[in-house]
Amino acid sequence: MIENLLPHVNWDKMWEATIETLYMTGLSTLYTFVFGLVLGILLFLSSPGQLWRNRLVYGVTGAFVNIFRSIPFIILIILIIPFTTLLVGTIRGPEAAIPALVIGAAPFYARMVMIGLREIDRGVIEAARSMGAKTSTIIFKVLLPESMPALISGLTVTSIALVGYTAMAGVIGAGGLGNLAYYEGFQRSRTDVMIVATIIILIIVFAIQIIGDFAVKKLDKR
Amino acid sequence: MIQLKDVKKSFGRLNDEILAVDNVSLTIQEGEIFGIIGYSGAGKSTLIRLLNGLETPTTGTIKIGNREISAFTGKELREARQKISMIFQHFNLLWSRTVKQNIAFPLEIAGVKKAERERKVAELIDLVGLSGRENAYPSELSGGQKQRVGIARALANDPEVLLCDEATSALDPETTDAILDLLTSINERLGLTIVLITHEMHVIRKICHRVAVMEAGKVVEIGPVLDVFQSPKAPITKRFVTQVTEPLGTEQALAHLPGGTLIKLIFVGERTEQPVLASLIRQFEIDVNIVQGNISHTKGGAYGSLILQLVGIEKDIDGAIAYLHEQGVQTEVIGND
Repeated sequence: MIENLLPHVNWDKMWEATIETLYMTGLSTLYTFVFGLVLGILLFLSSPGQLWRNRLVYGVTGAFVNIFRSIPFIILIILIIPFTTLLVGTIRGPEAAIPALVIGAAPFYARMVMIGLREIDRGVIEAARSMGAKTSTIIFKVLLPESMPALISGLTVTSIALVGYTAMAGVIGAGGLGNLAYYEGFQRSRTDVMIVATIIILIIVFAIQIIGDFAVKKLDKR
Repeated sequence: MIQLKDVKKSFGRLNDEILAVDNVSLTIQEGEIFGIIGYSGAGKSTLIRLLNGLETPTTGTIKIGNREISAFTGKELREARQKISMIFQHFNLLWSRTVKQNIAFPLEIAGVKKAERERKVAELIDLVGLSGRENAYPSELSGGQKQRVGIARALANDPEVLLCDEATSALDPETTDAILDLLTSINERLGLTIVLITHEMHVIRKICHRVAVMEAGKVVEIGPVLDVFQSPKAPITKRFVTQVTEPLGTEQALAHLPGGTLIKLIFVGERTEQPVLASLIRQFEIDVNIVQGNISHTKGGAYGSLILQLVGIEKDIDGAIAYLHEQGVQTEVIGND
């Protein structure tokens, strides 16, 4: 029955591509979270009126974030090929997609982190200072927990964008569902392969959204 | 205990400087509840933040005990702050922590061990009357309960000084009184020095021993609360005093009174209990109409004001006023027809 409806779909290949997409999305989301968080906190703390107010740091970090956020992803992948070769040793396969994915997504996430941190009541930070808290205590015990719902919903949005990015990375040889849909589906006029790959991508995106929404709801005690 | 000497604090750049605190010198005694009253923009928020180093003075020195706070930086300042705690108008609790965890926060900062933290938190929850609510989140509490958490949190590290930044301004009148009672009992039980800023004379009247009135960055009047109530000198102080001695609408009510002479009597301390009025009516051929009366209780004693309308011939009215002066009642003619 399924064979008749979807004559060209090779389920082994489809499964392998799904795993590759999940691998790329998962690992790049993890790195994006770490680097984006560091960048976002740096942006926030160095911004005017904050604990580390510093025009130079704020200006440089801001420019870095804006530049890398603005380069179209498909161009970014090609631009950083030398860097990728240096870091991973190859430009093919899921691993090779990770640096481009993280460099493309971390600045985007950093902006969201900053927006989340800005929403924290200034009074709460002042209260922590009045108790004699160090900046590191303020970061880990005030800034992060108090902005956690915003950080998680930002990460959900970023992670979904990363699923889209992995499909683009697939076109230049990183593997995954995008690669499969493009080479096995589009270029060979096998519409059924494209449709199945798309449906799996949709399921991944919905799953990320549901998990993200659930986590935010659990965390938000306001 | 707390000593400010020639303290100035200005904000902004050279050309458009704002002088928030202008040459303030004052001393606050140990165990005292000291109030600073002023309208918004008077510099009181900046002044109280100078006391725990959240702001540093442009010039002048601030000493708490024998530590010169204004010279401290870094670790020294952070350690000093553990003994000078603060409560806030908007409570500033961490919404992500429960009542218990909020109160434990300053203890975590001070590096107190977990078992000791739990013991101390339980004790504080009891002290501020929040038993049964220890696992609630701030969003589940009323304003008064949130301020109780704020107070418990502020007491966690056994401070020497408690700074209150408009601590009751966001609360309704009943809750305000309950929080003020709690502050008074803490002051009496723990011997804690309390410095509070407010724009409500009611707060000063109810719990403060001494008060400083601030206007445009300067302290324009300072003294024991009862003295300031009895004979306010600066115009702004007079306005604050009428906040509690004359209910809203007094002025309009006076404007509509026809005829007679309006006088305002002020009674302080024991005088409030003597029947001056009865003998006045017996001795003089005048009609006395009580327009408005009020007694306020301050920490230093009672303070009463009475507005009377006197109707009669001029000689008798002058005689009556002279009699009141003789009796040692402060009398002021506030309207004549």
